[in-house]
Parts: sequence; C-alpha cells; structure tokens
Amino acid sequence: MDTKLRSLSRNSFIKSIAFILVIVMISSIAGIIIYGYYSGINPEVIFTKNYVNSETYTRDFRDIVQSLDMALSGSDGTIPDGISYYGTRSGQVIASSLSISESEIARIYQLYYHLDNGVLTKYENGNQEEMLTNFSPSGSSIFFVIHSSFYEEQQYLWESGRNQLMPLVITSLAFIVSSIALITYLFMVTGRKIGDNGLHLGVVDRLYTEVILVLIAGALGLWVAVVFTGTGYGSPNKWIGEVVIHSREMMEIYIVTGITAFTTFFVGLGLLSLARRIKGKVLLKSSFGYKVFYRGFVLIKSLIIGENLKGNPPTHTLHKRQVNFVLVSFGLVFLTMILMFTAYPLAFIPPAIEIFVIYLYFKSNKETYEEINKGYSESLQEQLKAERMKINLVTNVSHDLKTPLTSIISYVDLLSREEDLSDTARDYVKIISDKASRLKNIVADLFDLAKSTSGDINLDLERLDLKKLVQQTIVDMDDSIKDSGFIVKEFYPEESVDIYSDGKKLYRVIQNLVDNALKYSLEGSRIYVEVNKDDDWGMFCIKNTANYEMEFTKEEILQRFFRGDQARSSEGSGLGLSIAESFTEVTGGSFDIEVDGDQFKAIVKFRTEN
Amino acid sequence: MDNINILVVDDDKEIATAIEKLLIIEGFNVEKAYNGLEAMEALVNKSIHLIIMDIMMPKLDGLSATMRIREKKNIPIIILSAKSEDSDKVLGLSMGADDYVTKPFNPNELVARVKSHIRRYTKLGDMNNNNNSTQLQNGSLTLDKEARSLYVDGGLIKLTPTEYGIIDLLMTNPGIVFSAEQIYEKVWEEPAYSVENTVMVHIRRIREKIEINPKEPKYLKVVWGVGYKIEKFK
Repeated sequence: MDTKLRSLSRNSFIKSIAFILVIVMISSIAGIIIYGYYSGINPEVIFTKNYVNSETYTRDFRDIVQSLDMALSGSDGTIPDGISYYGTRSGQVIASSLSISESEIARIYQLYYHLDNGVLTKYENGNQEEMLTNFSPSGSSIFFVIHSSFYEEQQYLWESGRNQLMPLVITSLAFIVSSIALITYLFMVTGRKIGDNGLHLGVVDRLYTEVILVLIAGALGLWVAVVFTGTGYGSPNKWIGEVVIHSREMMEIYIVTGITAFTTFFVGLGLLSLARRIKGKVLLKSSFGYKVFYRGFVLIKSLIIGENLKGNPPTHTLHKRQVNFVLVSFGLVFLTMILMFTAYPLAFIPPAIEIFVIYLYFKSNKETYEEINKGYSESLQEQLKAERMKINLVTNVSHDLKTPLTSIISYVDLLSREEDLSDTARDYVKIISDKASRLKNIVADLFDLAKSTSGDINLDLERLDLKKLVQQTIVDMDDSIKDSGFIVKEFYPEESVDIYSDGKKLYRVIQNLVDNALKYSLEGSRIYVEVNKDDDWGMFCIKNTANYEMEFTKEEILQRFFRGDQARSSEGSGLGLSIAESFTEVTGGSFDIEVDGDQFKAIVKFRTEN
Repeated sequence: MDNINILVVDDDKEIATAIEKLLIIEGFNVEKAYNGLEAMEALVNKSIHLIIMDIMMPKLDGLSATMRIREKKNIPIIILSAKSEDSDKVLGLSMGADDYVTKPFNPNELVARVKSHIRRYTKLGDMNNNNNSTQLQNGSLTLDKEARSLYVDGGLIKLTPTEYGIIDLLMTNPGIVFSAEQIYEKVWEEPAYSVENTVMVHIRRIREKIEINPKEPKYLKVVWGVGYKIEKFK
C-alpha cells in the first residue's frame, strides 16, 4: 500500500496535474484580489459582522461630524442622508434640518449628539458622555441625530458586501492552503521516479544555476512590471449592494491572472529545478560561476604546480624554476617600487639582484635543456635500434631458414641424379623433393608477410589500371586454371579502373585469391571474377562455392596458417589470404571477406584516381 | 663444355660442394672459395670463366667482391643469394653482376643460366664489338631485323610473325612500357578493342621461348596493370 502510494505520488502525470493546479490556484487568487479591490467592498466586512461595531463606523461617524461642522461653517461638506441637525452660533440658529427648537431635542430623541466648540458629547436617555474631543473649535454648536434609517442602510450594504466577499475569501484561503500543500508535495517528489531511489535530473537541470536564477528573477520582474503598468487605471467602484466592474477593470483582472499564471509557471519550474539540484547536491557544481572558478583553479594549479609535468623530471624542474623566477622577479619589482618612494638611493639594489637572478635562470635552464636533448636523442636512438633489430630479425631468420633449405634442395637434386638408385629410393627422393619445394614456398610467403606487416617493404607505387591487371593475372594463370578444370567467369567494366598501387604486390594479391578459389572450389562450380568501379572506388571481387563447410569466421580465416579445410592436406602455405590482405593494405587498399553459406567472397578495394 | 672453369663462392661449404657436384655433372671444372677474399685470390691464380657468388659472407662480402672483380674482369658473375627482395636484385645487378638467382634455387635453372652466360661469354663476346646496324643486342638477346629473327645466347628462336612483331617493338624500345592496346595497334595494325587477353597470351608464349624460368622472367616483363616491356641490359 505504501509503495503503491509512493509510486502514484511519483507518477509524472500526477506531478504535472499538481503543478498545473498550483498555477491555476495562485493566478486565481491574484484575480480574486483585483476583483475584490474593484468591487469597492470594504474589506472589514470579513472581520466584523455589524456595521456599528466596525472600525469603519467609527471612521464614518467622525467623517459625519466633520462634514457637519464644515457644512455649518460655510465650507463645502455634504451631509449624508438619515442625519438631522440643528446648528447655532452665538445663540443664532444658522442652519437646521429639524423643525423643532433646541430645547425640544432632548425631549424627543433618546439619543443625540452635541458638538460644542470642538467637544462632542453623546446624550443617551439623559446620560451624557464626552466622546471625541480633537475637533477644531469652530465657535458653533451643533446638535445632530443619526436616524435608524442611516444604520439600516449601512447595515444592508455591510451585509451584502459581506455575502459577496466571504465566499471569495474562503475560496482564496482554501487555494492558499492547497497550494502550499501541493508545492510541498512537488518539492518532495521532484527528481524522483517510480521504481528507484535515485535522483533524476531533467533537461532544465542541465542549464547553469545562474540561468535558472535569472529566469526566476526575470519572471518576477516581468510580473511586477506588468502588474504596475497594466493595472490601476480603474478605481474601486462605490459599493451599492451589488458588484459593478467596468470592462477596463475586467481586463486588468485578466491581465493580472494571466501574468501571474505565466510567472508562477516559470518561477515554479525554476524553483523545482533548484530543489532538484539541492537534493542532488549539484546546486553549486551546475553553476557557471563554479565552473569558471573550478576551471580557473585547475588552470592555475597546472600552471603553477605543473601537475601534468610531474612524470617528466627535467620539464618539471624547468617549470618549477620558471614559476620561481616569475615570483622572485615580481617581488623584486615590487620592492623596487617601494624603495623608490621610501628610500630612493636603495632602489638600485633590487634591479641588480634581478640581473643576477636572470643570469642564474638562464644558466640552469641551459643545463636542463641539454639534459632534455640528450634524453630525447637517446630515446630516438633506442627506437631506431629497436626498429633495425626487428627488421634484422626478419632478414636473419629468413636467411637462416633459406640456407639449410638450399642444401636440402641441392643435395636432393644431386641424389635424384644418381643412377644406381632403387625405385623405392627414387620414390622417397621424389617425396623429399616435393616437400622441400613446398617448404621453400612457405618460407618465401612467411618472409613476404613478415616484411609487409613490419612495414619494412619497398613499395613501387604507380598509377595503374585494375581491370588490366586482373586480365593480365588471369591470363598469366591460364595453365593452373586449365589444370583445375574450373570455369572462371570474368566481368569487366567498359572503361579503365585507374588506381594508385604497387602492381607487383597487387598481382600477388589477385594471384593468391584466384589460387585460393581454384584450390577450394566445389567440383563443377564456377568461379566469378569481377572488376567494378563507382565514383570513389575501384573494386575487385572474386566469388566461389566452397567444396567444404566453411565453419569459420572472417577473422579466423585471415589468421596466419589458417586452413579452411582443417585437414591441411593440400598444397600451399596457408598464408595466401593473409598475404593478400596484408599486401592490399600495405599498398593502400582495403580487403574484406564475406562468407555466406557455401559462398566465399573476397573483395579488394582501392580509391579510384581521376 | 671442356676447360670451362667456374668459381663457386659461398661461405656455406655444403652448398658450395653441392653446386660443385651439380656443375661437374654438367661437365664444368669447378673451383671453390669460401669468402670474397679467397675468390679474389682464386681469380689471380686460375683462369676463371664464370663466377657464382653468394652475398652474405665473412671477410669480404659478395657485393664488394663483385665490384672489385668488375674493375678488372669482364667475366659473367651470377649472384646466388638468400636475399630475395627486388631492391637486393637491383643492387646486385647495378654492382656489376650479370644475373641474380635467389636461394633456395632450382638446380636446373641455375645450370641453364650458367650455360646461357657461358655461351654468351665464349661465343658472342666478339659480336658485341662488330655490331652492325640491323642487329639489336640486349643481354643475351640478339634481334636481327634484316633476317627478322631472334637469337638467345646465339641460338635461333622460332617465332611466329606476330611474336616477332611484338619482340621487334619491345626490343627496339628497351625499358619502355607498352600497353596492350599500343602493342596491338602497332603489331596487328588494327584498332584495338578488348585486346588485353590476346596480347597477354602472346607475351606468355614468347616468354616460354626466350626465358630460362618463364615464371620469373628476366627480359620480357609484365608491368602489372600497365603493360609490357623488355628489361634493358648492357
């Protein structure tokens, strides 16, 4: 159950919904606030149920008194409905909305007020109570009565406002609480995924932290700008018991809601990304400043400490000396400047020391350079020596194999010339002779291969026609093709196939491949030889059907001495394909083999010359 | 082949002996030397008509010995070496050797080459001097343009008119490579179209007639992917 809830909470769909809800709610709150503002409803209605208990009433009452005073003093001042007054100055009635005399007021009204030269007194059922005193004395005396109609109207407006505003306030409060809950949820689950406990960073998290901060600040700045420039053109409407919103004011509500949604979206994305970074402990590392600082640190470290030179003592010494030299020189320049201002005659000492330091620097550098040069030429010598040894080895081994073989072949030949040999002995001599000549071929092939793979091979590169070369080779091999009984089908392009290679080596390649096909083809099958050309490549391709099951990979068959038939009964050194591959590559071509069932295919490719 | 003295120089005594026996069977007289210095001594003491020389030998190697001998003598020198690179062959021939055979060698081929050089040295040696304009000489090949015939070491070779035409073209321009098309147009005197095979077949036949070892031709060479030429010799 717990894991189910956990995985549900990590569902990205749920997360998206929560995010959208937060945006909707926050922008709604913003809209509601503007709506409330323009509705003209006194916000105090939320806190106080009755008008007479409200702060507003106290304020209104004071306004009434003031406006009465002003109206009677001759200044402008409107007296609200539902209020009767009786004003005198120096015993003379100056204004009155009451048709009774001063003395009758106390008799008719249980509750009335008297403002006398800045002092307000409340009379209720014969009790008098001094209320507000801080009115400016105007020298007039005003009696006034606030009729219940005034209270009834104000209370009606109060209550209708309260009925309008209360649901909005409650909704807003609910939105705020839910938003906080959802935001907390989002911050908790962001970066987590179903099925593992790792932290996952998204596309946004690859941006530098500073970018995110700028994005957040920018969004907030935009919000402030839009709200301050785009609103305030209307004014709160007077509350008349129902909401009156003009179109201009309505537009402002839309603007504020929209920009709040927009801002919330970006700020939300940014904050969530920051949260993920904090969780993943990469807040600093993913910042541009950190990167610059870190790179700078590494650079300075490698410049000053010479970290990457440590494996190389002479260059490291050189580097350390260089750093020391720069520091000492800098110090001396600094010292010179100080001495110039403090003890002028002494200012000549540091430059003299500097000259000495420069001398030391150059002198020891020269020694180190010599050391480096010596080491370099030594290693070069060793490399050359090793290279020479390798080539000598090939040559020597080849010589050492060929010399005894020469004796064997020569003496077998002499033996075969002896006349008094028995038939059996003659047979034996024949066998020795055959095997000796096979050994001769193997040694020759081995030598060629060793030479070409060690890179010590003389190449005679020239521009040649691959088509011609293949035709010449096939005719050259006419005897062995006829002896084999196979039909070689040849396909050539109309035009020449000009490539750049070594003709003699390439002839060996083609010869080896044709030989290979003649040796290992199924009886009665045909061998296909094809020369092709496209824009970039000249290609030779030979296909044959094997007379045995080719249970080997491309890599295996190119191995030295690999024999497809395993029995190793037939003639040949087993080096044919290796030589073909090596010679092709050493002369600048590429060699490939394809095995498809019983089909064997070898491809030799060269870049065409134009 | 009586009274022909051949000097065999090889530091491997068994090989020297084997060659000695082989040549004695063929009726030559043989002297042996086991390094370059001994070879020089033998030359002073005996009348030698041909030298078979190894390269890698102690004291004085075959190439240096060849160079020194060439300063004084004009006798044929066949280098017999385990070094089989083309560059080795070129070096050997440029040092003044007349032929280059690689070890392990085919005894019959060696004998054939020895005979060829002896023939040329003994019988044709004078012909070089009174060369007339209709005769072209290249190594052991002699082309008589007037008689339309080819001699190898003085022996007449039977050639078909086409074969002669090819040899004539190549011998007249030794060392120059001709493509199959060029050869066809010049010899057949027809426009060439898909003639590589035709020309190559003729080249092979000629090789079989004039070369000691047609598989490793000395004179008539294929320049793979380009054409054909006759190697230029002194």
